[in-house]
Amino acid sequence: MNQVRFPEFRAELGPTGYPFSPLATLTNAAGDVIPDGVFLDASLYPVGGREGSYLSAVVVAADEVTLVFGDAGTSARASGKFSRTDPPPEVALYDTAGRPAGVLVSEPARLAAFRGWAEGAHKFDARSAPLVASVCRPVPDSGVTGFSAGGVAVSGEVWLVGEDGVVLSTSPADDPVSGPVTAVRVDVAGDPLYRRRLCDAGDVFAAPRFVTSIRVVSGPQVFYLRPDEFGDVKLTSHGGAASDTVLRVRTTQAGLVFEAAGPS
Amino acid sequence: MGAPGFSNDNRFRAYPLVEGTAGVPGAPGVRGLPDSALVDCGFVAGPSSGYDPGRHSVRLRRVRRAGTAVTFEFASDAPGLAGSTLTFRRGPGDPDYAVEHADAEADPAPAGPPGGGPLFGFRYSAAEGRRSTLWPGLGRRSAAPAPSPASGPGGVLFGFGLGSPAGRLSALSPGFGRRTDGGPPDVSMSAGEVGPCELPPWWGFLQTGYTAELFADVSDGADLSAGPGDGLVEPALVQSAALGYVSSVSVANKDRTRAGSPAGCGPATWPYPGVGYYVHQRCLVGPLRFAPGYNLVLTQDDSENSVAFGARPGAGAGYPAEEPRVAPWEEPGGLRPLSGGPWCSETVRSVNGLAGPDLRVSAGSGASVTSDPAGNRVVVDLNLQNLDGCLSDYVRVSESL
Repeated sequence: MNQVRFPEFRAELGPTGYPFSPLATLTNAAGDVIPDGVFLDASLYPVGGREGSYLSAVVVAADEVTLVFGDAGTSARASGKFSRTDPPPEVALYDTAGRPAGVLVSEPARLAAFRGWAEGAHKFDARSAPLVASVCRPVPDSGVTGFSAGGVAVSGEVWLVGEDGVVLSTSPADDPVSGPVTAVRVDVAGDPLYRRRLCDAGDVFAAPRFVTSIRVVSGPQVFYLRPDEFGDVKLTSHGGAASDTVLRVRTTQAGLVFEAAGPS
Repeated sequence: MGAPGFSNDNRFRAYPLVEGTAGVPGAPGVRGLPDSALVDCGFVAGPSSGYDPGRHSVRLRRVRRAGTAVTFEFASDAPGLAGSTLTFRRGPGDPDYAVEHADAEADPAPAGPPGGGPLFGFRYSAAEGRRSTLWPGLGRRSAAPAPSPASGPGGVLFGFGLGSPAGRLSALSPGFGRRTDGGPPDVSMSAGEVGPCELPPWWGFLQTGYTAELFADVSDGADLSAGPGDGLVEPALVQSAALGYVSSVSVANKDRTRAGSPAGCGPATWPYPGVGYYVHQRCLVGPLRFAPGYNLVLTQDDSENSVAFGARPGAGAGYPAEEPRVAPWEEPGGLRPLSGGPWCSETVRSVNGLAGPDLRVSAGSGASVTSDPAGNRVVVDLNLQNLDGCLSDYVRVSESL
């Protein structure tokens, strides 16, 4: 019988139980059997994963199949979905935070084997469907893996940006536990001109010309009235020049009224 | 006779490339590269790569020989790896089954707050009151298409709105990544001037077969390119660290809203050009700590692994003793505030408590008020008209404002 001495990688693994362990039974208590060679290759690298990766469940729905993988820490460390009626050649795996956690290499014809499974969750344990150690490379879950504000976590090179009245700065600091650290200071100073930003078209907002002082001319005398700390200017009729002045300055709802006191 | 080793087996099959995408005798380009050239490889796509194993791939894009050097270039279609190649080189003196590890060159396209991709920013909304704000918008490389949240961001901006409980973070200090040089803050006038942090976008290894065989198969001057679908690396040989960890934190501030110049006045100027963002410090690694500044309420919840930011007048470092600068070197134009324009106490906002914008001045008995727009004057004349008097000559007191 002719035998290919150096078969292609996938062809060589096809008839084997790889990536499952040689000790895997590939059956569960309910009698479900994972077909030999359903997967050609695998790579699992979940963040925070533990040893002992195994296929923990095959969840079959009307139009999709979900493969769930667990390990010594949890029965649901990573999962991947594919179309039940139109399987792909590969299935990407993600952890519970939505991060890439691995890939299964197969063929549409091989994954089609799950098409005949009944709908529902078909569970397996660590003894029935363990994976070989070489396909499992969990990533340590140390340090900060991401920032989240309730939505998708962001990671990688993260930018912290202050805007609209919030200003960020950094400075060295000392932590009693960590030692020298970098402190990110957050100042909320407000944006005093925010109304201009709201009129973002540029020419929609017209910069006003403010009154900064009131120049008072009285004959040869000239003096300036400038606002106090509250921006207010006081115009009164009292003064040392004439204690019996008839000048009155009244404040009304309609505005400022200058008048002379006396019968009319 | 013992069974041939794994590496030797791979000299006679397409692995580590997918069968049919290489090692096809007589095929052009990379697809025709003999099986014996490569025997193993592996790659790790970094946290900012956006590599999704369900959608992206790595392939051998090009093989060249120039004199005594054979170069293998790998590329990926992951959004964060656009324009980045992983290059390996072999010389005739390299041993058989030589293994080389390499880091990809970082994308020379400028990185920084503007761009495409998810952005989170610190924001205080005076108009909206206390509200958490979170918005998508900006990312790492302006040259790359905006990655979707599912595929992972490539160097994303992050911050959080102030106030509501929804504005919370999880996790505190970054721990991964290469160290910075520890120098002074890398302050940039423009976001376009900054580049990526030190962590390479991706890295990997390549093992080649027999060196003499390689140089015999790839002739001097050969330049093999990959056509569509050629040179694909086996998917299980690529590990994605996208979204895996925070590799570094960079800090920037958006430019403040600046005062404009009223019509008829000269233009408002500052001693530096205004840009969209001011980078305060790049590529922070190691332990970080958030410090409460002016008006900031900072609370930490260890059980939820979260930090909450809120705003309250006088909280944190108290009321602002000075205007926080968006960049350390920021200076006001002249004696004005950093945002330009006058201070509140420099403008007449009310007269005798009556506020503007227009103040009505009128005359009662015995007075007259006239306006002189050309002279920018309001003349108040105490002429005692309409008043009873025993004076033969009335006294006029006129004040001009």
